[in-house]
Amino acid sequence: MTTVLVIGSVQDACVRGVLTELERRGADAVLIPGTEIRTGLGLNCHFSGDELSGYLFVGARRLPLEELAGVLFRPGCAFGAFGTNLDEEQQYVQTELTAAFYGLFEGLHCPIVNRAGPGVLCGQPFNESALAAALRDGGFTPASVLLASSSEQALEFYERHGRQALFGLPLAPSPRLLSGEEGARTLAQQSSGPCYLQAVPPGRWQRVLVAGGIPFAAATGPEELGQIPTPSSPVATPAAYQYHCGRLAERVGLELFEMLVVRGDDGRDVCFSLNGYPLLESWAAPVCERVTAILSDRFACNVKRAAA
Amino acid sequence: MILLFGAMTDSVMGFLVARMLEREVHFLFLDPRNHGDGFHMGWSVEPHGCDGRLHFAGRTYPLSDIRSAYVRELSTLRPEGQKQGTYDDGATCWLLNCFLETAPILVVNRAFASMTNMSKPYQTQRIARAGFPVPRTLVTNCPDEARAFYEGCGRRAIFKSTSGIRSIVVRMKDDDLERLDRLRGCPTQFQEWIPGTDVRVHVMGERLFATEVTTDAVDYRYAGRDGHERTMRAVELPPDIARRCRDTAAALGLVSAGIDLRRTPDGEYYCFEANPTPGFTFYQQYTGQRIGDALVDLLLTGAPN
Repeated sequence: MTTVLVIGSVQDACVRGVLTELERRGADAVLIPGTEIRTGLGLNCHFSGDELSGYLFVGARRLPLEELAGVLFRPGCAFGAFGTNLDEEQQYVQTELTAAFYGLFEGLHCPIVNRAGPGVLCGQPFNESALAAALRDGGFTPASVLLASSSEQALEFYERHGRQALFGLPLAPSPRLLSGEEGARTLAQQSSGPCYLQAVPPGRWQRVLVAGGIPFAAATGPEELGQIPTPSSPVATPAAYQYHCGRLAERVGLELFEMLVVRGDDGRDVCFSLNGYPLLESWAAPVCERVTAILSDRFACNVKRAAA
Repeated sequence: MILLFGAMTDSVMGFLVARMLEREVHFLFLDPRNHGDGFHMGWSVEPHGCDGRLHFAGRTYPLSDIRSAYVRELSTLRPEGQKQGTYDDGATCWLLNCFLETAPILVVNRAFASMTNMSKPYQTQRIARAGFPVPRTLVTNCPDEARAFYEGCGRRAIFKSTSGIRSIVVRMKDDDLERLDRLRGCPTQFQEWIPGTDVRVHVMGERLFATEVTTDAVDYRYAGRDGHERTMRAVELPPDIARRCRDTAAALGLVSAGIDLRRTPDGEYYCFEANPTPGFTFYQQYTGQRIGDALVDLLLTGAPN
């Protein structure tokens, strides 16, 4: 295993950081820019039973699959190249390509950051019961949630949880915080249609980035919801976090993810969402360097093992 | 109470509704297109459990009354003339999927299990790990590689989509070699042709129904359309194959599945795929197998999954 495949964009700090770190270590890395995923990538995946073999063409270069030491996959950049408002034919091609990648990733034995496919656990705990179970197993508490299309039920839940909740609409990019009387008015005026509310306990808001099972936490607040947060330095995490996040990373099968957590005054770590494709742009430079080093270690240990 | 999600025009839903009425089963038929008008629902998931209610035709049902749900279709149902992917379509689908994902009931089938069929090479590998032989497969967008695979299979190969969309099996012919250049725009799945007799196995919980299909059509579902004869009969599976079918469904997280097998002249069983929402009425109307009744039994007595 000699080569790390990077699918994404150099505009992405994670891609840039990993490429730089791998180059510094003298490891071979090949970048497939998202813009070229349809035209610049030759896929040849042979499946025999559950054994995968074959190769990829990146430009003129032939990459045997068994020589891949790892894959950094950033689908936002990769599939973002398709754009939005696709016609039926473009949608079909995107679906076929996605299905091909899922098959490829399922068959590769090298580390993939992150492995995409059916059953990958990320998003909001109420979208995936298995994610909620994994969070509980990792020592986190999935936020209490109401899903409804009636403002009456939403208000009832809001009152019961101390008039502080994240309010979101399906397919909308991000929730917002409702609190106090103004929040109640917003809910009362909400026209019928699906929405969700996640109860927010009193406590400290944190973003928790986990790379290779190692957590980095930064203070955040409701004003940063839906924004790319200002790069912030990490804050100290409780000793138990190390264990909890390592266990959670194993359960969800993700090498890199970020959670929105409120550390409640009662000591519970309430989790609202788990993002499988975090942006390193929102973290201070020392954190980015640590994270890219951790990810490069995961790939590089494969390169070294092959060389030995 | 049992919830049925789908459209009444669908033959599977029509069968289930008729059978449940006949058996005096307490059920609600919910067409997702009527959400917000004909019915709406709300529920909370909290550390102490899940609670909520469903409003339907002027009545309110507590969530605790719901024992199980059968999902035939959520996402592609839409009023005539409305384009797929519109906001309301997606929002309703999202809400119902969240319910089906979090409700502590038996759901046939939950979305995460159904999604394995959205990538055939992904599912094929999972099936192989569950113990079935699967055909040699190539997923490629390189014409030369497809040509070499076709030759390597002794010019006996099929192609079909890599995802679950437009998934019609087509036998590859020499004429197809001339249009392989079109592959460059979209990866496609090729498989070695496995000779033999098709066997569709419906898994309904622990119960199995095997139907042997004899035809000279490549894809027996379309035999009539393509002018081929087709006969179907109920058969018994060897115990080892029956066990593998149950293992495959369990490995994919499916409570109910339509598993496509082919029995070779040597007596070996290859598995092609597992369909999470099989149209079982097509089979039982030919064979008299009581597949739908087994599904009703499952919905009545199955444990939460």
